[in-house]
Amino acid sequence: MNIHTRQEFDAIVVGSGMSGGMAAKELCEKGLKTLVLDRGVAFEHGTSFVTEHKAAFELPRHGRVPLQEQKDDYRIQSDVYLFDEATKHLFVKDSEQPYIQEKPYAWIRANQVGGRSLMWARQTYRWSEMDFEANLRDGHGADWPIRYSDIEPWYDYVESFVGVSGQVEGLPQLPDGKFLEPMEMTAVEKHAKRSINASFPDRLMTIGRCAVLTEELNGRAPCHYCGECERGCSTRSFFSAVSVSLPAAAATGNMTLQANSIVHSIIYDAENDRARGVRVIDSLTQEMTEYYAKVIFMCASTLGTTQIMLNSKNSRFPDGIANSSGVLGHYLSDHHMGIDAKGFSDDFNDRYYVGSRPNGIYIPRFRNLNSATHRSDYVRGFAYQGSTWRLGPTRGGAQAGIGAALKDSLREPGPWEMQLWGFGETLPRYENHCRLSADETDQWGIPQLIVSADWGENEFAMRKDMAESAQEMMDSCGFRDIEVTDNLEFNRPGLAIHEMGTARMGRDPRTSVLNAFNQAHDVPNLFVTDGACMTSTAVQNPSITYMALTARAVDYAVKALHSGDI
Amino acid sequence: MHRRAAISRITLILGGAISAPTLSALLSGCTAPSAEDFAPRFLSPGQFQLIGRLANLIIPDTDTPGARAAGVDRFIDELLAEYYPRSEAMKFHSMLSAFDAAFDLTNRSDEEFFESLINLDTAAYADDYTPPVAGSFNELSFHRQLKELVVSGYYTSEIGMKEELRMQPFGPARMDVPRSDVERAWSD
Repeated sequence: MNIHTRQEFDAIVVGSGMSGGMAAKELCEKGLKTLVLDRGVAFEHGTSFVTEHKAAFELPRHGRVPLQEQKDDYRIQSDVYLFDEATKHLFVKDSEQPYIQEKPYAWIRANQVGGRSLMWARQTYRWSEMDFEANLRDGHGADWPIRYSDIEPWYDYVESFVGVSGQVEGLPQLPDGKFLEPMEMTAVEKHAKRSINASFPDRLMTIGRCAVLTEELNGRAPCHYCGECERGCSTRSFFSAVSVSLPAAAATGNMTLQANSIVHSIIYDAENDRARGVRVIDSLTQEMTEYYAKVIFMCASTLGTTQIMLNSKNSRFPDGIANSSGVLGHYLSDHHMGIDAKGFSDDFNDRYYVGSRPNGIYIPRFRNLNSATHRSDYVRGFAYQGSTWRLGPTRGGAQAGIGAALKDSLREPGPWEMQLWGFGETLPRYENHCRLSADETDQWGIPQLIVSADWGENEFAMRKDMAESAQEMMDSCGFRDIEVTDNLEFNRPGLAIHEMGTARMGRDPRTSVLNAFNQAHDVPNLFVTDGACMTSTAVQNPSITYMALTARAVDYAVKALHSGDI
Repeated sequence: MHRRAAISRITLILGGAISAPTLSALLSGCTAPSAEDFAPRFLSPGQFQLIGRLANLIIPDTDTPGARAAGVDRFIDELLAEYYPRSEAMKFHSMLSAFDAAFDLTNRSDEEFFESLINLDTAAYADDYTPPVAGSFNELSFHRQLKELVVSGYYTSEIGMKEELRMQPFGPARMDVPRSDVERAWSD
């Protein structure tokens, strides 16, 4: 292969999504000439939002993705809740980007610059002191090398930039943040909040904390409640790398953003014990180019970053760069979900809403917080997301009635429904891992990733309680036709899209890849700040924590660069 | 909407008990109203006419246009042509013929058949309704399948969303308002 070499940068960021966008912004604002690489296609604020605000009847193919196409090209991606004709182009084609499922695992991947920050659910919850202490307390997983006080100022910092709406609640297990005005609850949510708290004083329902503006912030407009953030937001009201962090990086004049750039591996300079740069394959031309920099940030998503690092082999690191510990690729964890509850109410038919709220409600963790909430059957805990709405007109297809009477009845909103969806913490286990295939490669000649992960006993014990707790809360609200289901089969690992842990942080270089500043123990100018760095999963949606860790790591790295330490 | 609410939305839209193939279909809308010279892609011209007729019995013209004017016949033809795998579309095709024959539709007026359709509809959604063995024709199950398609097609069409119902406005949300503040149910 003909290898081209290019100019030197101060920094290289691999990946341009939630973590990469923040790394780019921080590095560029600190004056570093930064190359940002993404394997996806070019994607720009505004012009790339081709399905934004399109009604069902305006979509070129009427919203549907033919069943055969789903099966042939999107066998895995089509299981994502928001996959449809309006969002299909945001996902990779599984048929073009294969990986090997040693056990069933849904690897959900974005197809464009900005990564999955376009399609995230915008839920934004801080981790708490008890989350950073959890591994040490119960002995599962390595001890986190940081505590809440280390990250707290960085949560403040990134939240002020991202814009997070939410309600201050004063809970130790779910610290409050720098919130914009909370979104409003529906009549049924207000009722459920009161009912649940009356029956279970230690359980609280709060409005979801989400990265959607309810007030103007830095020139970004408040949300206009179209309800379809993932199609792109021309008013920049919801936070994505495409609309917010990458433009901030670009505004400095220090960023070079390059799409269609698949990082093959990290170049290691054995003489100086440093990462020298990266080898990049142009996805369109197959040409390989080397780029060099003083510091490298890996933000290619948990599995993407890990695949690149495992593929970066040399005599010093025969099993992948910065992997003297042998734990690179191990402790792969995703939140377990699929305990879903629903119920209906006819008691609030005189109430309705105006606007499609891009957010729901949240019931924070209430188990294993202290001796009063201690469980003997499992460790850690779970939380619920949920929402309410009145049934829409297509309920008419599932009930008796035809003719003018049918049309008439559907002019009235249907009954209220409430749903709850459990999200549980998953214990980090060594055997849940990914590794490179010895003989299968992709179309660019990169070894395919083998993924092997499943749920453990602790998760199954927790799920019983998740289902029972959901049932009793729905009962306490007086709903009718309550159903609690365990959809474990559908919710195989990966589908919560909160995968973490394969290059974990830790205090001991023998059992972890990264130190307290996301710096590789083995390679001082190599940083990993996406989900791969996470030492445990907690139960909160993780994006804001990735961003806080990223900003903190950049601050550390740039100071170290200036002082000559790296 | 909230993460995962899209699934819920679909579940509720279809009443929760409908075959997976219909799921994505309801995300779809309708094409422009039928023109006289429209050539169906999957159905025969006769079957296309019949679908339009049945659809308009389920959702007739009232003070707003009905299913045929909203293009529901085209919507169903398109689903059969490009959304469903060939084998499922062929199954629908033969069931439609069987339904036609069972009710002698060619020789009955709309008014006459509407009375039978009401009875059929009542039975199809009765508590003791049991789905037929896969592959066998059952007029109740066919009616349910067709009605789901007609209703989802109509209420995702421009007429269904904007004339029959109302689309949510963009602007500040008000999540707890009196029902009387809003003219009709939201279509989306």
